Amino acid sequence: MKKFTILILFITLALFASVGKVQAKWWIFGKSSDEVSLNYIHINKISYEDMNGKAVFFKDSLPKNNEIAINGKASVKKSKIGAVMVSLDNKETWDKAKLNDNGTFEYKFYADTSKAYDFYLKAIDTTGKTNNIEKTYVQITFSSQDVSALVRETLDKLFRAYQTENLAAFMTLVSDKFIPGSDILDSAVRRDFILFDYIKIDHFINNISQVSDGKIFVSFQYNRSVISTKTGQTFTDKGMTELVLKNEDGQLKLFSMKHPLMFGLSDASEIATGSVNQNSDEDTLVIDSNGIIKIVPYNDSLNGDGGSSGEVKTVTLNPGHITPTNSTYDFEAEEYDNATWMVMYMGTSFHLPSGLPVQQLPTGTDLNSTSVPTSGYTSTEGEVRGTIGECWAVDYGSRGRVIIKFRNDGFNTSPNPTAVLFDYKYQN
Amino acid sequence: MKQKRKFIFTCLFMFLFCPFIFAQENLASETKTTDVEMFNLEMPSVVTSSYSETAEKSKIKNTDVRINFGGQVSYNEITGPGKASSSLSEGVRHFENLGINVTGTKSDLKYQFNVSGRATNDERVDPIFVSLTSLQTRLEYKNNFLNMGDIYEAFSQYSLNTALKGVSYKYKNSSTRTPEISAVFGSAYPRWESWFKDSKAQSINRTAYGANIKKELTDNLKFGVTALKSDDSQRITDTDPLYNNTLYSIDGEYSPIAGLSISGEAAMSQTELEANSTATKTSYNGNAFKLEIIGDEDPSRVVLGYERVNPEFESLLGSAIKDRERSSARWRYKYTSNTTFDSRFTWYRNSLNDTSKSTNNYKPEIGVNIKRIFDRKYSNLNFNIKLDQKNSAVNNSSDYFTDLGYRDRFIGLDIDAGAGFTSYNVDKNTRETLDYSGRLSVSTRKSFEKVILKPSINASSNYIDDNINNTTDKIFEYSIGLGVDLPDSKLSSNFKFGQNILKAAAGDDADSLFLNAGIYYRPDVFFGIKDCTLFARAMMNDFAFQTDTRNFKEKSFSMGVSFPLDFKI
Repeated sequence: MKKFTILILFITLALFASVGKVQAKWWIFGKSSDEVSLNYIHINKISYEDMNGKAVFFKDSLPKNNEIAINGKASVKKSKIGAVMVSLDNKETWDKAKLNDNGTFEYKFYADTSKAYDFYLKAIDTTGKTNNIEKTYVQITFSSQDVSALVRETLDKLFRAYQTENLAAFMTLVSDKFIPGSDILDSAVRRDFILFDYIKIDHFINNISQVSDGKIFVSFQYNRSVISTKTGQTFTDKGMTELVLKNEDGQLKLFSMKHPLMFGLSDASEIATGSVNQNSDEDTLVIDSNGIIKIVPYNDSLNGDGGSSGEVKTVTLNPGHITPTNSTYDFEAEEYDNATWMVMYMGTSFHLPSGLPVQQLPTGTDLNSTSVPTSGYTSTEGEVRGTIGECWAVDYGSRGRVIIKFRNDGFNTSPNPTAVLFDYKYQN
Repeated sequence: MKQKRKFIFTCLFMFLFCPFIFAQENLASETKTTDVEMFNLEMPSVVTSSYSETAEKSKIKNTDVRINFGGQVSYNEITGPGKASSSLSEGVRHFENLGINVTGTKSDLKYQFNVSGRATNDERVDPIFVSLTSLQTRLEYKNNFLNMGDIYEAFSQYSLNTALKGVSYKYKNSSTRTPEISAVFGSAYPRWESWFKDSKAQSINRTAYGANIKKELTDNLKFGVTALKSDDSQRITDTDPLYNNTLYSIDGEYSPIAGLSISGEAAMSQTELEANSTATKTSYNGNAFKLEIIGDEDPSRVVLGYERVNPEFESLLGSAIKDRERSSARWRYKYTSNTTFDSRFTWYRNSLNDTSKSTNNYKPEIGVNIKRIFDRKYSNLNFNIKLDQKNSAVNNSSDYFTDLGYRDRFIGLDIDAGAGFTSYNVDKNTRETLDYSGRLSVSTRKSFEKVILKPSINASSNYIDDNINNTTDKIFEYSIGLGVDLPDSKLSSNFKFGQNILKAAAGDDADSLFLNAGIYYRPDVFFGIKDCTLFARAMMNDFAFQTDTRNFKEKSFSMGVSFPLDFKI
């Protein structure tokens, strides 16, 4: 895989190094020639590449006097750009754009938002050659639909496609630029569809905020129920979540999502880019790495592995388990052993092995309502010796994390050692 | 808390009335209008005035007000021993949304104000009975933009990509190359009730402030710089972690030649974490980097990407998955005007500080889309193969996905069919599952003199073979639907009935019947109100399980109205 990474970096460096000397466009496999070309076109700051031949502007978010600004850059290899012309009426009339020596151009007009404009752009070099005019076509239209109506419509479509388990329809509503990757979401949603049957989700929008680059932030309440295909069990949850939509060629598409997730729960740790800042014990639907559907408190759902929060368990180490020097407990296998990893051992008191990342939690922490911390661990230089009542979280790396609460150090009971007790909550 | 309420309501009061004040100045100088006229929501007088009067009024009334109202009342009935599994709330439930939007201009000043709220007694909709869902004010003066209330500034992916409750300012001059400067201050509360410390919307206070500068250095090079600080306070429980985070980011885009763009972002974070109320603070630094190269010109579009977010990088208000390294490549090739190939490869891994514990993910994918196949105008064939492989020290998994989709129109019927095969394999006898799926949808639209009919039939099935437990789960769902529109009467309706059958080999079988019906009336004008919608909806779900004690039935009947009121002041 390193080779692949190196290859990408090499290509990048090569591109940087060859700027100005690039003759053939490597990505079109030699089909390029010395034509007049357009380096970029922006219509009201939206890139031509994001338009796919169609630009829809919302009337309520247009600049003053409905000004539309078109700018870009044209270039040609062996001569110079002599003029740039713009047509807004399907090539019937042409208007000259303001052109600079370096090929950059600008054209502005005040739009009549009740009509559509058929936009073409013609760049002419000093020898009379032009660019491929047909390729520059963009239909510019204006929507009186307010953004919130479009957001509602888009969310309705997304939920409908997900509920009917129509992957193709769902993915058409996902941006190619979805963070962290539309292919990762695609795989996760496919797995959701295997695990879920009869999905029902109602949503109620709280808030919509937008920025000028076409991104729209949406926060909403949801009410969801699914049936597990494995067990036939019904799971319901409700709560609040947030996502970002992006305006691409007049259509809003899913750009990023936060915990709690609405789609792609099967690979939640790879899909959610952040979590809603709320402290909530609200029931939240999650899927763990074994494909098991669970309902856990929201705070626990934020832990890795789809909220595999674990339940609070109590371990009793009786004298039969305890050797004079140490005794170990494997939280993953839930058994007593003498392993050298994934253990907590007891000598004369509770010991946590040296070098492990740990953190002490407040005395009196209720394990039932506390999720296993995902961060805040520091490696110990020596052994940590806990005392009764103390609560510690331990990070065993890829083997998971655990919170331990010491209840009774019976080993030191004289003359006969009694049981050693501790509660723990394990999460992997 | 009282202080905050006072602050909010003072702002609300001021912003509600500032457009009225602007409008009043014009009115005072040019015409006389009574308060009654100013608040006449129906405003039929404007509609019925003579053209000259209307034109005269439109000259002086430059503030548009839109009030949106939507409300519904539902009666939900849930019966059966398993009714605790229902996602409905029993009884009579109401739900109302009210939004006010004010926009206008006064010489170079453009102003916009939004406020909306919701009331409901349905805890499954919102546990808070009356809530303020949105409060926004936007002022635009020449090249200066000021936003207050619910604000969303997307500085860059790693730094800020979430909404805040606060204030933002932006200077942006589209006609020159002067830098675009933005500054933001606010709290990342998920809703206003969190600000008001409502016990049903608790959240820590994450205060953020920062600035972003975007600059076009040359025609084909632009970059941005961001500095953002967030500071957590007001822990809800003793175990809440509090972060104090400072993040610096540089992002840019370079387009050296036509069709080629190179964009990227590099960010570093300094974080101080107090893991719980008794923990000592720990500090750590992290960084993140991403690069994307896009080559786009017919017939190809190639996208190469690389990203590395180290485990100590904290992006509390941006979008990042920490402890990940990712590379991806995508090539979309338009072979002919009707045939497009799409191939993609993604690799990523976690546990960057100890790669022996990493899970490596490989996702190669290839697909083809053919339009007008067999020279049929409406045909569209899609075929896709994908592998999803995960390798780690604990286990390895290989999932294969294959899909075939076909859309066409035969004798006036729109056909959408698809079939899929998926194989899930996790080693060490953990999982070996084969999934076969198929779906078919047939629909049409027939227009008669006064009626439009839209019948549809949908059917889908899944067979899921578990080769380890030697079981097969079977799912079958069908539905029939009919839409009836009476355009002259402004009526539209829909009806859908179906059944979902699950035969869970190792679990409880389920057999669900569902029925949905709705009728919508959208008159041109209803009691003087334009664009009004009245509706009635009915829904029934009958869940029958193998274990009878889980059975339940849901019935819901709703009726409601939604309308906007538009007027000028």
